[in-house]
Amino acid sequence: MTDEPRQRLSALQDGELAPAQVPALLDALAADTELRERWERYTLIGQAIRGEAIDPNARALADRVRNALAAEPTILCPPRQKPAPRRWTGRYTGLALAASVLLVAVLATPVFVGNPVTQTAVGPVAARLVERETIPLQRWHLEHPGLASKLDRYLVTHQATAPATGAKGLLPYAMLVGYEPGR
Amino acid sequence: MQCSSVMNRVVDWRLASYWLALGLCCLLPFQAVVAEATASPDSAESRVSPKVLLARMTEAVRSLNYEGTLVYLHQNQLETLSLDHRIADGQVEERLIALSGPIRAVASGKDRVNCVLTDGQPISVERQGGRFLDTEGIDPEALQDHYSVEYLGRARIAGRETEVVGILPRDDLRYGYRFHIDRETALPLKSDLIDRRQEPLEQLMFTSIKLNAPAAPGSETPPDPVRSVRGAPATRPSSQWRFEPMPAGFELVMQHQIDQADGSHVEHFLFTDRLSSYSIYIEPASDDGLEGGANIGSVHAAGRRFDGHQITAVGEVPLVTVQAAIASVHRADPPTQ
Repeated sequence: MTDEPRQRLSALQDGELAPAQVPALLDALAADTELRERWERYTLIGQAIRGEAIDPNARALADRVRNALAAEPTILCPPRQKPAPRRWTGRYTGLALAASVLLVAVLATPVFVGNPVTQTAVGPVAARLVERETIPLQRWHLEHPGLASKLDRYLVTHQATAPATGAKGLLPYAMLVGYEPGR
Repeated sequence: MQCSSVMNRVVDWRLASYWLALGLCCLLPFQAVVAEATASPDSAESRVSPKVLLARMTEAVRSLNYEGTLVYLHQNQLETLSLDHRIADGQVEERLIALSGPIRAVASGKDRVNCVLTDGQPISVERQGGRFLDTEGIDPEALQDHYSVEYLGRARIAGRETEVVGILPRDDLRYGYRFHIDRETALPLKSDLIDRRQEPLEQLMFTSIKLNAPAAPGSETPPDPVRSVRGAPATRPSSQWRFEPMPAGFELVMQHQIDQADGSHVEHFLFTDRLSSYSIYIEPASDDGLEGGANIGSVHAAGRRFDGHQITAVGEVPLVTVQAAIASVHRADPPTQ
């Protein structure tokens, strides 16, 4: 690979590539796996330097979009009819159109009105979880097994006596069981 | 002539459009009314009352037998868990097993909780006063000072329709919950632990669930009356330890002494704001005491040494809460020099 695409890639990353050169570079990206990998590396380096959160799911984004598109139903669009000579029909086409819009509106409204699904409440299960900044993810202090074991015992004792655990469902216990050590 | 015919057509079309648009506007409110009326009265009622939904949920967890597979998501890590939940002699028995990685399991019976975890010895804890299930359920009015309880809409979980209820914390000293309650069975098919900004910290969701028939038809005996910790009034510490000022909203509701295998004693104090809770353990200082903070996910612990004693707070509350809790521990009568 010559240096030129790399330099352009770097310039694109920094937002310094001339707009006229962007389409050609995007085409090259689409065709060249190595160039795409390089783009990912540059992005990671940039994120690491700026101290930004790195989301491993971003890597799967393109695949997810592709899969979602593949799952979309194909819309069969009949070829546009040649406009018929407009005589008396023309007068009623608008009416018919408006009537069908009204019909659709009338039929479709219960769907919208009847199911007010709150988007914030639905939240996909893979929603980005809040990052904890101060404490690394681990089971207590793994370097002190005695302490970790004691804290486990304290936690189980706490959960067994704590109120409203039934109302909280199994979350408190999932916390105990759901953490694999060393991850 | 031709021009005027075109003009006429345009005018007709506009006129028709106006009339239809007008008709449409008039019809829409009727549609809304009809849609409201066709929704089942049950859902309309429960939608406005998160209290009813939460009560139904508590009752369902208390009375139904079910098993299923759960996914547990925390910090972009995913674990699969298997759950068996059954009612025997009016008591809930639960078993939760991690299906991936080393074997980890929690089993709870009538009066014991047994844990097999990867580090250390198996743990078996006798229940003290409290229990897995609090028969009173959640009373939104009692939580009002520190949480707001809200109906958040509907969602589909494990292929089933659910109503979403949020118990939203009003400050950063406690976590809240978001429950996706199955419309049919009222079981919580998805439970999120959330912070003040309603960001999910941990999520537990059924991917499949199977309802089982009651174990025996005669097992409808009422559960043994067990003192409910959540409804317990605030008590005063009977030992030498005092805890003022406590993190806002938390009260001491239970205290007891745990006898350890090596003959030493640990004093256990339980504090709650009627939903979230933490425990403070006080024991003679030893080498393996906790200094500073530690966590498993959103369960935090904080510890410090004080006057020859080790003070440790553990709970499903933010780190600041356990830190504030141990910072305020002091003796009732400081020894005078």
